[in-house]
Amino acid sequence: MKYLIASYIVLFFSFNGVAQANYTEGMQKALQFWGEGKTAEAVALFERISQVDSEAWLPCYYSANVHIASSFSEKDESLRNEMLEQAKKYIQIAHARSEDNAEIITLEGLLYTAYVAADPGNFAMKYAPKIMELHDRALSLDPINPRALMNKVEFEMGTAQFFNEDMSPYCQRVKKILSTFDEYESSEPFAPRYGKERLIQLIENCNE
Amino acid sequence: MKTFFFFILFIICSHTHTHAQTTIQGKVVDKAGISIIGANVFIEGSYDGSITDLDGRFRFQTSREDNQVLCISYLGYESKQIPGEVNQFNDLVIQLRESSQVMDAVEIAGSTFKAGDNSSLAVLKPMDIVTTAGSLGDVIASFQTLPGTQSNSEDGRLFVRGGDAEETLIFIDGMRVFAPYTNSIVGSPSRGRFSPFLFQGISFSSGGYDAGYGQALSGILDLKTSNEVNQTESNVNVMTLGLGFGHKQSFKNSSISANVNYIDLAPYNWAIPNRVNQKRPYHGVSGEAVFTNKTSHGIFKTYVSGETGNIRFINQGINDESPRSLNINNQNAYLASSYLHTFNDKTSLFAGLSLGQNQELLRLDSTDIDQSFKGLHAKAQITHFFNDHFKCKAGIETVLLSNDLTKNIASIDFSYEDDIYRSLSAAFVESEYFFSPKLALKIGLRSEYHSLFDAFSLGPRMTLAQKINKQQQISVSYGEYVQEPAHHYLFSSTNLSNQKASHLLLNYQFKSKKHIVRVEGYHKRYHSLISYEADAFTIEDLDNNGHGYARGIDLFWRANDVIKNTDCWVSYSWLKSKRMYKDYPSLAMPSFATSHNVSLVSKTWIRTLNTQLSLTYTLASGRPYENPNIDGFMESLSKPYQNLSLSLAYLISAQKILFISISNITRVQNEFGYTYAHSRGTDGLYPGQLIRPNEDQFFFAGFFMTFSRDQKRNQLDQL
Repeated sequence: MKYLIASYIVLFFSFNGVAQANYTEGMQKALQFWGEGKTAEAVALFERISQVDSEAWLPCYYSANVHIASSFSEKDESLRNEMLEQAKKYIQIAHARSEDNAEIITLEGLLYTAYVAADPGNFAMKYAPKIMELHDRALSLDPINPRALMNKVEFEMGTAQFFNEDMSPYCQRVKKILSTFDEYESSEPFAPRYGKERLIQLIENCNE
Repeated sequence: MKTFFFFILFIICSHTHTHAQTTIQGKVVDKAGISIIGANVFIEGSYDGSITDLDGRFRFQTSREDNQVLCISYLGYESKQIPGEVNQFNDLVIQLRESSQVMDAVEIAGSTFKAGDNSSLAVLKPMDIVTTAGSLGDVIASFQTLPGTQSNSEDGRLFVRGGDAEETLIFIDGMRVFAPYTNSIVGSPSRGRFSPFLFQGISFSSGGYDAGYGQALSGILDLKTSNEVNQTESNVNVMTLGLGFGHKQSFKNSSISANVNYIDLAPYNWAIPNRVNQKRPYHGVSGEAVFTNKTSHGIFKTYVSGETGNIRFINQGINDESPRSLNINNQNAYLASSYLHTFNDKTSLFAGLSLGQNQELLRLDSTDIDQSFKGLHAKAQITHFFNDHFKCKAGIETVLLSNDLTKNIASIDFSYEDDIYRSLSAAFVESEYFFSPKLALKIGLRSEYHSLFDAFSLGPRMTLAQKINKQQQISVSYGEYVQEPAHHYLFSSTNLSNQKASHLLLNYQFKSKKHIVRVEGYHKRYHSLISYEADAFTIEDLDNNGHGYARGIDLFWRANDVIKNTDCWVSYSWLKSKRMYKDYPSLAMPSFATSHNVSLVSKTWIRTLNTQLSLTYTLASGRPYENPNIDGFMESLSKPYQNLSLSLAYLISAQKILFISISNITRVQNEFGYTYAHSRGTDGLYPGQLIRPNEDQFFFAGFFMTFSRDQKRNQLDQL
């Protein structure tokens, strides 16, 4: 009997272990693809992982993230819109898998920022309050999330620039965020860590 | 025991790692056989897969065995699932169909103009409704700059393609609005009751609308309430016309936004007198609120509004022996509630209810007239996507209407009371089929039953649309429509029936990043219109023998940023319309129709001043009127109408805006024809009275301030 239980336990863990190994391997590979600029491969693999691991929010998160990032440089309007639609779809799935997740909410803020960047005349007024609200919500859940802090201040800088306001208070805030990137820790493997390069660029813009 | 333990582990691990590997390969192409690069091909529920290479080829290995499902997905194409034996997934050629959901698909919305939403059909941006000079935040007024509408600036309501204002019905979230316009005195335009900032999208159809809409002969304006409120904030408005307060509150899954306005025209009329002797200019309180609640599968919305207002003035018409005093009290309440439930990607159910009540108490000298109205609209509709190419919707609806009229003349102790009640039931089906993303057909049928007439009607609707290339498309639409006669006719006669119209439209659209061009030709036939015999005081012999037609061409051109920081659009409508209805002795152009209508709208953002400057110019040819002193009928034409309006929105800071608007800057003395006395004067002629607007020019200034947590939001999109 003891053997039987033991073998069940072994059976369970080993299968789980194999699945976990596949997940780890898949995520590593997909992130590697993305790092190499192979966005189609990255998205395809994230899509596959997300439908195998139906609990995992990170593959959906990254899938949306790749789409949003690519949309910024996409010139074709209909393709860009479809990328953002896909991103929206994956963000919704991610929300369902992990509620009140500051990273996903921050990414949603970035999604609407992408809409604004693509067509400010149409979307700036419409989405500006939504973007601010999403950043605020992310920060209320995770007050030191560096990506939430950065995206919020970056969006505010854009608005301030529009109204010809003084940029120095924003620049001071930007500099303060830098340390949070080093201090912020997440226990979850593959949790987002990026953003520091972008922040350094913002600081450089301030110094110009 | 240890040995056994490791033995098991070994068995399991070796088992999971020694699966036979099957190679899966093939090619992904589109309908024309051209390779699709970068499509995702994989075994469902596994990591095994790859993307197609430059030749559209894929090749990967899987440890899965037996029956599996091969999935293929690619942006802009319909995903495909192929079930089968793994070892048969070899040398496959998989064809993907272009998805009709992509932006490039042909549009089959007929001649609909959309505003505010993300839809590719949107010709007006969210801000346009509120920043168009001369519109003063009136939803209706901003749509009067679109083609297909006739300028009736002393009336304020929407007149579409040779139809009168009652032929255009207004909806909120697909539910009927029973009293969409505020009360006004003759010569002053009435306004829409809705504040534009509660709505995220508006669609305006000047003909050929689908089977979901009934009881409108000429046009449909459907306002969609916002799905969500993004931020908790309050705002205060101080205007030359009154005060306003608004608040928006967002919760986790729900939100509420509400506003209250107190309007009093007394100070304005004191400062800038007009042509009407107003004892007490309009003053009233109105309020609106939208509540939305999102659940995981549905969205519930409720819109409520209420208004109470009073106006008192003295007027002497051409047939009045002495000036008459008129007092109008108006009370209006309205509710529209709807729930949209999405079962899955394919099926959704809509259920809606609207209730409206309007009471108008008139005191004309010693005569009291109480006109009240109650309405209910209930609707249920199911929409099902059979696939990306084929969509069907079906629904049922009921409208209950009741009008009451009470007249009391105290001086002669006379009293009169009448009421009329009717129910209108309808069922409709409509399907959309995409033969390809470039060619689509929409066919619908609507059947209605009217309790008062005990009559069924059947209205077919059809649109065929073809995309010529990425930027251009043409479509043709046909539809048959019925509408009950205005309620005051129903009081007078019991043997009336629905009025009818048929629309035939040919539409061309061109759309690029900077330009939108639309050209639409239409032919509209009216029959079963109300006709009667009339003298100065009574109408009799009412029947449905009236008829008429309207045909014309509408042009619309919008240029975005062609001139730097400037958006502008031009509308031109040519209309030829004649009717033989009411007491017309012959076929004639009705007094609300104008042959030529031009609108020019421009908006410029002046960065250095943080100011948006908006200009609107309207030119309309004269309107016909009947002069009994001249032979013929409706033989006279009023002067052309002109109006150049200007508005400035100055952003003092992100939370404070100063808005100034002046209509008719050049102070053109517009006129709208004459009314004539019922009897001849001493010179043997019927004396006439010129119809003029109550004020040539209107001035508006307002200061708008927003209070929110982050102090970034302003009200520019709410003006």
